[in-house]
Amino acid sequence: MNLRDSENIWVLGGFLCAVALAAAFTLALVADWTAGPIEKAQERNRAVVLRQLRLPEFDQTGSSVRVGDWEYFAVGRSGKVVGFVGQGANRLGYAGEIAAMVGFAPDGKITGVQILRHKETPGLGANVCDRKFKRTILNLFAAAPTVPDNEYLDQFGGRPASSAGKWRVRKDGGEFFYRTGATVSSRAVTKLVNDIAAAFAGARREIAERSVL
Amino acid sequence: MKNTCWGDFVKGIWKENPVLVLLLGTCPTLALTGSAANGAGMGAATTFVLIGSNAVISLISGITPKKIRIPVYIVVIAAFVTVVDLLMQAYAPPALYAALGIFIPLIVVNCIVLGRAEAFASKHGLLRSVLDGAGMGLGFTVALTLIGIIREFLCGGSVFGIKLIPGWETEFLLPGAAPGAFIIVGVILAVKSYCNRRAAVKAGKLYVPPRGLDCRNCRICRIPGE
Repeated sequence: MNLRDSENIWVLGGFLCAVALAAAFTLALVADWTAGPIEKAQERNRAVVLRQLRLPEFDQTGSSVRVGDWEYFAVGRSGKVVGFVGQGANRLGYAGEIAAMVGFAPDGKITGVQILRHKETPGLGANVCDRKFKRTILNLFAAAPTVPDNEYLDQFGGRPASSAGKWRVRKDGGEFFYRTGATVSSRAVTKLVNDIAAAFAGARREIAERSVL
Repeated sequence: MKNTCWGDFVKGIWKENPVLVLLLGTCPTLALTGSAANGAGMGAATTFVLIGSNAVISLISGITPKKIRIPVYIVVIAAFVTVVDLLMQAYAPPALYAALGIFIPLIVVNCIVLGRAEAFASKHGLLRSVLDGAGMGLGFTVALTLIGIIREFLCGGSVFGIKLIPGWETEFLLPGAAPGAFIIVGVILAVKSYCNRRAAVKAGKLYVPPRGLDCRNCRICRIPGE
């Protein structure tokens, strides 16, 4: 039988099925083989992000608690709560969704802010959202800091969450400075951090009770 | 024989470069060359898929019924793309995977991959098909990295994330956006075309594109017996 010139629908269908079956089998093997490394890589990314929140050393994370649109969990070290993390996203960015993570000390002060996802314009809005070490030919071999500075995100650090609620950029009469040409992104980030912090301040006791280490 | 093999490999890099001569795969070319690292990463992923799919297709083309060859090729290509996607999730730097994102699954419909499967791998042996895939992939990677370097440098004076001109603070937006990509690719094509013509004039001939690259001779989409 000449397979190449066959026009019998059963032969064609059978061949396609065989190819699909072989492909599925190969993919199952590869997926099984990479499942472990993928999980490890995701854990590593999460750890990198959490470290950038400038929280104290911790090795435990609590169960997550939803308050409105936001999600909170406690972090602790040997059974003692050393801080809280809040995360969430809004769609006010220039190019849609911006997702952030905010770290809180147990007394409610913000320790750090990190943007998890954004699609802002490179060179403008992205500079508000990205923490990136500026490597030039002058510091080519210098070690990159664990938490690169970002003047727009760092201005939230040290502020108590209870003062949130009316945080705005200077253009709108607030006290947070923004990047010229990226007002929309700055506004979105300020509102996002404001909302996460305000909800945290309102439900702090509940979060501390329900997020079990 | 050795010469043919070498020719199969190098033709993809310059003479039949998929981006700069065949003008295939323009979507990733424009979308993913905002930085040199993204261009190189996309090129590497596509090269892996090209080599793998060319190898498998050259092996099964002898028994693949002609009527369903395109679906069969697509299944093979999709399998390799999924493998790349899984491998990148596991081992690639997170920033690179985040930047390439949805464009990795889209390699399935990258016409370079299907084009090479249909035009080359289905008609040649394993060794030549693998070399063709490697050469085409390398040509794609070189072109993407080149465009990435130019765009990243024009944006903010840096290349591969390293600022070459330390005082350059204000970023120039046009080269980083899609219109800038079109302009830069256009300029590169014009320069390449100028070089070809000049070389031909020097040799005292009129420049004629190679027969295989002329659309009128393309048989890729033709159904046999039509």
